[in-house]
Amino acid sequence: MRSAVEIAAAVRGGRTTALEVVERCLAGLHAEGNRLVAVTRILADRARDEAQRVDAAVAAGIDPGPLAGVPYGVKDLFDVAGLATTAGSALFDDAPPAATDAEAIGRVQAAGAVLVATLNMDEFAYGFATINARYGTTRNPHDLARLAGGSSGGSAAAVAAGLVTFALGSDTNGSVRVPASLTGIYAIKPTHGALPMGGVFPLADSLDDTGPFARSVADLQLLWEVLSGTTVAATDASIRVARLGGRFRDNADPAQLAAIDRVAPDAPIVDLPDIARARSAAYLITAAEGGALHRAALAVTPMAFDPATRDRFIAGALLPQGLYDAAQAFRVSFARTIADLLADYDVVLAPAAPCVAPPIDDPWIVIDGERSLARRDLGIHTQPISLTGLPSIAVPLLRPGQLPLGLQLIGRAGTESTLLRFAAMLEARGVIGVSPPQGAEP
Amino acid sequence: MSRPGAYAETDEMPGAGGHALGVPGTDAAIEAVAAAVGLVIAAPCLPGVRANLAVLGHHAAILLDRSSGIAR
Repeated sequence: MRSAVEIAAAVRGGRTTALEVVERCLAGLHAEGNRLVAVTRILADRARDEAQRVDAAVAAGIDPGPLAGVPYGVKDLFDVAGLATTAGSALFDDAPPAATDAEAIGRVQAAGAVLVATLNMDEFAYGFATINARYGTTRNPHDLARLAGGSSGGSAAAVAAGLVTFALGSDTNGSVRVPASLTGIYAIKPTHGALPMGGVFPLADSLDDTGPFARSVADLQLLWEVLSGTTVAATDASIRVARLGGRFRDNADPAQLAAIDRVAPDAPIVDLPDIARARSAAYLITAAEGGALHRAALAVTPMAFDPATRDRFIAGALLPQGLYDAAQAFRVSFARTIADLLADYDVVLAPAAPCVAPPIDDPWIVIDGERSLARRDLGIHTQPISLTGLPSIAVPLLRPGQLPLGLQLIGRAGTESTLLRFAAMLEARGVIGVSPPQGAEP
Repeated sequence: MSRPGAYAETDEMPGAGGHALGVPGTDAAIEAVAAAVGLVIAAPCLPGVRANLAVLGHHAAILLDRSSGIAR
């Protein structure tokens, strides 16, 4: 289970070949992919071709890039040239193949990464559970009887289990942060629009973002740099920290609160106004945009949808235009208010998912003392942040032998570098870090 | 943004038309609004649609500050 940084260094230095790395990865995918229900397609031929091109570059004295030979997967809503983009739906089983790769795939491929698999998700990314009628329910590598979260659950599970070194997902309301929290890995929800969405099938256009998963801060930083085309500069500048209060502290695992308070015991606790309204606005915008996108298909082939998402999309399609407009208007004022409130802080700490992974056979969580559906409500802490467009990194608390829990590191727009620096500091202090699932190769 | 697979680019806007803020609640209202946007709700789907509209109505009430209740 080597890191992207280590694999790329070994391939670039001629100590191993990309093909050796990829063959080992493919063997793991064939052996373990079905157990987790994380993988929808293994792309062996493409992976071998890409790996051989990387090895040819090394042999010719050409640097293949900072992700040389690193095997990765993509949530099954990224266009992959020559394949139907299923978006996790039987509706697209026979869709025409994509003509080109999604833009984000192009960026990591240009850096030498090797695509090995497409990965499971909630149908059309509408859910926090990766319970999928067509492809099955993705299982958490830390406990196969529990959910991996969603909607990018296959991506998170595959990275957590070491089946791939990193993965690309998408986050509309928490769809990389929630599964990262439940499976104990890292993920970035970038400043809205900062990473390329070309060739990514949408859930809600105005909220969707591309987000990578990784198993270390160093790998996450490398992916951020490759995907964004920026460099994270080293600096000793001090970082001003705050803790989110109110609903964020009322609905958290005690271990999350203890970690936050241990990291920043003297940091102010900030209560954000209108958090419940923000979550509701995000919920309504997502329903309305998703419903509009799928309205034509719902009119013709409604029974081809996953029943759980079909009924949600139909309901969204019936929302009045005025309500959608009201939600978008609130979004503008809320984002401005939160940006002003957080202007004095560099990193704001909050829980990611509110609890450990729920059992698959009892997929409920407790919110404000009442039982709530996991697939609908695991994003209670991520959804309001999505509405602001601010960046948020999900980081795993280091707790070997226990079910994973994650935090969000939230920053001002365009400050992913600061969040990554803070995450690296927490990792170095042993507060956060990946604990391999029991039975996984160390 | 490109729309891969079976869906072409669309200019379709969210919302079922008009500027009212109410979420349809009764079966008759649900079916009427559905018909207005070109949908026919099959009988097996109606309970699920009704339940989801109730959740959306709850969120609408919170957004519009008509409820101090818990966002679900």
